Amino acid sequence: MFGAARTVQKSGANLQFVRTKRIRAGLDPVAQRVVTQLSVISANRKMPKMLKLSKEDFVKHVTVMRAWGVVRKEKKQAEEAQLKQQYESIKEANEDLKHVSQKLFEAANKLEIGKRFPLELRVPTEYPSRSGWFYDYTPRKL
Amino acid sequence: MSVSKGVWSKFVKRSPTLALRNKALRTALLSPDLPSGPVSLKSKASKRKYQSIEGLDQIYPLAYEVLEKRSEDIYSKIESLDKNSPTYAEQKEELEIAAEKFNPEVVYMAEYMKNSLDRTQPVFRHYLKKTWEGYSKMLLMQRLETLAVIPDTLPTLEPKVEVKLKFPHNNQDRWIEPGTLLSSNVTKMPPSLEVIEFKESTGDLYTVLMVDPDTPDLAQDSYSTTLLWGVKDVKLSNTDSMIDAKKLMQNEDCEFVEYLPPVCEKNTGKHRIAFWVFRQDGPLENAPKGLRREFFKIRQFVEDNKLTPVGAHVIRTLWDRNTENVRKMYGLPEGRVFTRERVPYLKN
Amino acid sequence: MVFVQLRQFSNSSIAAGRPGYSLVKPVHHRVRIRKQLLSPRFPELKLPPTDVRSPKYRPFLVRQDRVKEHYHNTLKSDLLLINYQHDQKDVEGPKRRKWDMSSPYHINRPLQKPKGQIVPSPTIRARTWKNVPFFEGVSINCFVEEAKANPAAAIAAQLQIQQITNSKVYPIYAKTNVPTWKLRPGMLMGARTRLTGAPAHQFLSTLTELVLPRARDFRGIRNSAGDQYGNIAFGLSAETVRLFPEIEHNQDSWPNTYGFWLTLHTSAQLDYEARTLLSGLGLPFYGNEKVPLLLRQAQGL
Repeated sequence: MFGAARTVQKSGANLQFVRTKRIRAGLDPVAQRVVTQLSVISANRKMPKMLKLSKEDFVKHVTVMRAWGVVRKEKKQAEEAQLKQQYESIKEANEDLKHVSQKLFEAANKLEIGKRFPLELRVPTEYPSRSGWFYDYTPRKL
Repeated sequence: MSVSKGVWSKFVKRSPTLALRNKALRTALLSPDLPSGPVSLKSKASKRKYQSIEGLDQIYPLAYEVLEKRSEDIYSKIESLDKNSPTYAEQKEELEIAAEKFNPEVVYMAEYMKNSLDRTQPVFRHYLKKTWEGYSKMLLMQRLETLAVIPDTLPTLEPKVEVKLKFPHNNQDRWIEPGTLLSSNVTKMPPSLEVIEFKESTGDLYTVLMVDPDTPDLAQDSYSTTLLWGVKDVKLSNTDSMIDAKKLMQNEDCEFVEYLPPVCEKNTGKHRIAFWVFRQDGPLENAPKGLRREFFKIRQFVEDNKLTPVGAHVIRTLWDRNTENVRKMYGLPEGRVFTRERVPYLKN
Repeated sequence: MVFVQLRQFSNSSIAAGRPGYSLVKPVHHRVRIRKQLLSPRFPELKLPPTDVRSPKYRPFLVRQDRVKEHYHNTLKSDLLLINYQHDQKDVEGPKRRKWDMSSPYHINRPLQKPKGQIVPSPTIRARTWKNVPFFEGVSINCFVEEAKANPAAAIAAQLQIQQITNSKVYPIYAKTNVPTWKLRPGMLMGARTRLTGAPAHQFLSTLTELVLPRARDFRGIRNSAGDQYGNIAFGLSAETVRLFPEIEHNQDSWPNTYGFWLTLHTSAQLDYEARTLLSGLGLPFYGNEKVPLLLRQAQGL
């Protein structure tokens, strides 16, 4: 999406992207190291190039972004609706339980301090390990 | 190959003005890539150099499909609206805007062809309103406030329409920015006004008043308001929004006070000339032909006729070397020349 | 005696010949004017930053976010269930108190401190489907002690944080004067940054998948860590920092590494909720966990 970083053009010589290569006379290696580190941190020369779109492509871009917005909004609304439904069911079930058995109701509503997801729970990856799922696992004691 | 397979390429129920008239542009917007290069770029060199965004040709048809599907749903919702409901017209307009708002052709026209939009279409009115609110409306209100047109003529304004103004001078077709200082040569002929409505309007009646609140009133040691031009019962609609000489010639009853150019007297400073546009409920009754211009009570007039101010404009003029010529043209006596009065020195 | 506060136009200034009202010029309309849009200069700066033609435009959501998807697909509904309490009510946190107006000096005096605290605590809202806790971001704070003698160390630390987070870093300066430590205000002492959204998720997954499993001195986050309001902090040693892939694969360039503090910000209202959430994102915890003070106070324990 962005152009390559700008290079320094000087008349005659075509210098490369010289941030780490240029040696300044009179600087000892330690000071040079600091200078290099500072130049890496600085935002100088890191501004990406502005896009120049033709009118048609601008409209197409806007269309794509809006469609994406519509899709994302629909997805979010569906998720919210589902969560709401879940919440309503939990509430209804608890209301029933309250009348059926006070003991069970209290157990269901105990404050779950210290509740943890199992450490074996992984954030899914596109390419999971070859060995596959480990079915006979027992939770590890910490 | 067109990306459109649904409502946006059907013109049985939709107006044909929602489609781009330029064929090359239309094909460019309805195909995944740019089949004949970037049409909107002018020079050959920039056309050759231009590179489209990578991957846009793959994602664009999908995006178009999503939005077209959504539009189709909205159109079917319009069909199922209750026609007897009191808010039917409002709901319909809202949904019609929502259905066409994201149509790439409409977006293109609203962005790049602002002067030739079909104002009978709610979606174009919506886009025009947004443009107006983004600049002209704020500019007008800023000028009205800093020049104290509000509250010197009318107490306030809640702008509903855009008012554009130009004078038939020098054959220059240019809209005048509110607050501009104009010479008497420019203002010698009656102006043309464009009143752009952002709601659906088929035959509303409008009144226009042009007043100069800076006429010196020596008796009161103050200023008075002069009515320079009064126009009433002008029928405007979304398609025909101009108030110009041609329209006033057709119906001579419209002009109840004939145009008198602002001819400022020497040394009276810059005069504000305010244009007020009112929407009428019915024909105007308390506006007789040949109403007295001097000491015009604009607030009284508005109250008597039950007018609602919907738009305004303001210009400024000054005495200049041409003013006497304009006076002669309209058969007016020579203007007074004001000089500073020498106040006797008061001891203590 | 109770004083009643009355707002009225000043009488004394009228007596002194001045107007007894505001001198601000009134505005006669209700249109909000944005002056920068009226200026003819820099037309491209008037575009909203979401417009590609604006120089402020930044592409966003440009790649898949695994952690976010995991949260929405797996954790969110579980968290709703875990945190559910039937007939839950809002628990009012201690707020600033009004003066009783028994003295004339109470008029216009700043409100009293909350009981037993210095700053007020937020009210704990009842949990619904609308406020399921989520992970907001990480702030990283790297204070380098050796920067007192060698300011270049602070710059190296800044570079290190920038390399492992891929974000803009800001310097930290000493604020206090501690003569025994030879610390004076204004000394450059390290680096800080704050990550939110996708970069924060990326950092978290690097941390939980590549760094922490191999860290020898890391047992987990202590259960007593946290600021009461759902933000949990822990530290990484200089040794552990070496395990970040950006540093590990370029060992020669990093003779020194610097440990730092991480604060994991969540929208949880209490720490135990934040811990449950973070455990779902792959962070281990250890130690005893207490019932939070606010809940104990609410239950009268």
